[in-house]
Amino acid sequence: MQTPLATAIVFLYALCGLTVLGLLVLFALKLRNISVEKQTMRCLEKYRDYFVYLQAHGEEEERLQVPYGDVTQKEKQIIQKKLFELMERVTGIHRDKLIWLCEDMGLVELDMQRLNGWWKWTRVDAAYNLGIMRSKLAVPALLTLLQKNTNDTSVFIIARSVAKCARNTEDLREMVTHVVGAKKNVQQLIVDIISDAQVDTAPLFAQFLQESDAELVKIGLIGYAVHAQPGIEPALYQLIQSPDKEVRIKAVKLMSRDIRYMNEQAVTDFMNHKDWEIRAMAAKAIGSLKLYSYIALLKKAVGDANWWVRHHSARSLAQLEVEGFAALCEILQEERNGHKSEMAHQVIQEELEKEKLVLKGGTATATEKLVQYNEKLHLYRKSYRKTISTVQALER
Amino acid sequence: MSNLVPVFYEHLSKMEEKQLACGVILAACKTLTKESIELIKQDLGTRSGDGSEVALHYAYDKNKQLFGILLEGQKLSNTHFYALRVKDYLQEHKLLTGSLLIASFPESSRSSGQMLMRMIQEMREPGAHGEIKIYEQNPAPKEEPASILLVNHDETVNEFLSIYFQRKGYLVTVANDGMDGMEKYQEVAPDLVITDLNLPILNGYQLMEKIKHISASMSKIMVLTDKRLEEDVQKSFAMGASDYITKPFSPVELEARVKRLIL
Repeated sequence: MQTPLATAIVFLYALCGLTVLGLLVLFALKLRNISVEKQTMRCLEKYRDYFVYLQAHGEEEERLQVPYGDVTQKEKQIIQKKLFELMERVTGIHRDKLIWLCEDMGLVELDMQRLNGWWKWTRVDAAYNLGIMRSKLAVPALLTLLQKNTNDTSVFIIARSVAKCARNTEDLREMVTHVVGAKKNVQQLIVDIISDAQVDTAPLFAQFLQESDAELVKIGLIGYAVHAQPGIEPALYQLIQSPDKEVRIKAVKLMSRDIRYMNEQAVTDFMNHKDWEIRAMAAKAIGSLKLYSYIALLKKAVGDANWWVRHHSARSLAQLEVEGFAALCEILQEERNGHKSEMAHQVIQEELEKEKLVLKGGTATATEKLVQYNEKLHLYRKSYRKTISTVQALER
Repeated sequence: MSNLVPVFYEHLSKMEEKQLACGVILAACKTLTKESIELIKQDLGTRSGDGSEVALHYAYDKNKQLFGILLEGQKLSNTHFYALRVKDYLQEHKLLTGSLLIASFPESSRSSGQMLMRMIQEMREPGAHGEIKIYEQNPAPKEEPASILLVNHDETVNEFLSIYFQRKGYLVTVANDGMDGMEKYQEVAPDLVITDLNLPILNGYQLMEKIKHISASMSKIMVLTDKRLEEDVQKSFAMGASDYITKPFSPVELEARVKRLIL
């Protein structure tokens, strides 16, 4: 019968054996890496003049020529890596010529074959390579691969390759539909992926705005924020009533940054919207876009139930020069207590304090600023006749 | 043994008449016999890089020990590609003694003879063994070329831009980090510094700050970086950068911007 000591010894021997085996594997891997590195260095040295040739004639009309003589498969891979490094850094005719060279060298064909490899990461690597080579021929195969890979993050690698190779917006649309079906809440990333496409993506984003799927609409809204395109106002306006709150907010955020969308009807609708975020955004936009005609709306909104709406309305009034400031002072006259007058009072004080500091700075426009400051101070004193310490402090 | 200049001059005159472009390769060689030239002709063949048949003329100058090949109807890029074969062949047969010089003679050139003479003169200047130099036809040779200092940690960008700008006639100096950049700046006082913001030892901002400090009439600075944030753009301009380009970049656009800044 085996004693515990004997078992322990056997176990220790087994452990030592495994450790030695592990070390041998590590050593073999290290040797292999060194050998690959040396091979790469030799190859890069062999083709050094060829790489200079490629980089020196990127602008000329002639196609770049493939290396002469027999190029082994391994050498082709090393050359491909070098070409990719260049293609990732330059755009325009230089990149186009390198893409044509990849086609002439048969690298596209090689990766098209690898797309059907039995190992998943070979297929993903091939997809990545085809993306860099912007091979339009590979799009159908890449879309098929995208459909098969929906469970992990490799879906984004393949999606980016589809975007880089896309022949038209239809390819992009198909890619987006697959990704949205596989992953949720990745709209920002999808827009970033689409931005790699070499086709005009503005019509695609406009189409997404009219979709019923909220995910696609969000992609359209994010994309539209980057690639603004005129003529989609009606679609944007409809989205304000979307059942999805995020869509409503994103749509108003887009409209609030452009003065053309801020017509009377739109501003009134925004300021009376059920979402406080929309009311606050609209209030903020009125001030930053200097829309003096909506002072009355802002004045009313300083009494809103939501603090953020009150805050942005009051701040916007302060941004609208003396006219807006006068409206704030009117609030003080009309209402002595409550949220509305409290907010107005706070912003008035901040504004006067800020202007006083600017005046102390003494810039070229100091006289103009002084006149404006005095006018505002006068309005404040008139509206708030009570002798309060703030007025005295500011006068000092 | 025919002399290189009269032989090529004759061919170049014919090219001028036909309004055809042609390429010339000059290589510093060991003494070649008539037989060895014939052998080279046979081995190199008459096909250009793309496989098309091309008329080639060989000549050797015994005194200057220069071996020359004239490629009819070939532009610079094809000539350069053919030069790769020539170099490999000469090196393999241990015939090469110095560098190679390539040039393209344009279709309507009226100064081919002068250009050829200048090429031969340039071959007298010692070059690295096996180096393939491109002869650039400088319209105003007396003018001092503008100088550029490239400060980038990315070797691929440095190599590419250095080849690209040298071909455009600029004097290019390369530095791999901020400290190296600073030292090279003091050495060469370039007309333009193209720097990345992500640099080891001294980053791009610190480099700009130091350049500003040491030189009152500082060189123009262009930022070429991966950073796309507004604050980086703003900070760079505030620190004296004259332009800001993000990677990946269009070399054509970059050169246009460089021209605008230097000239």
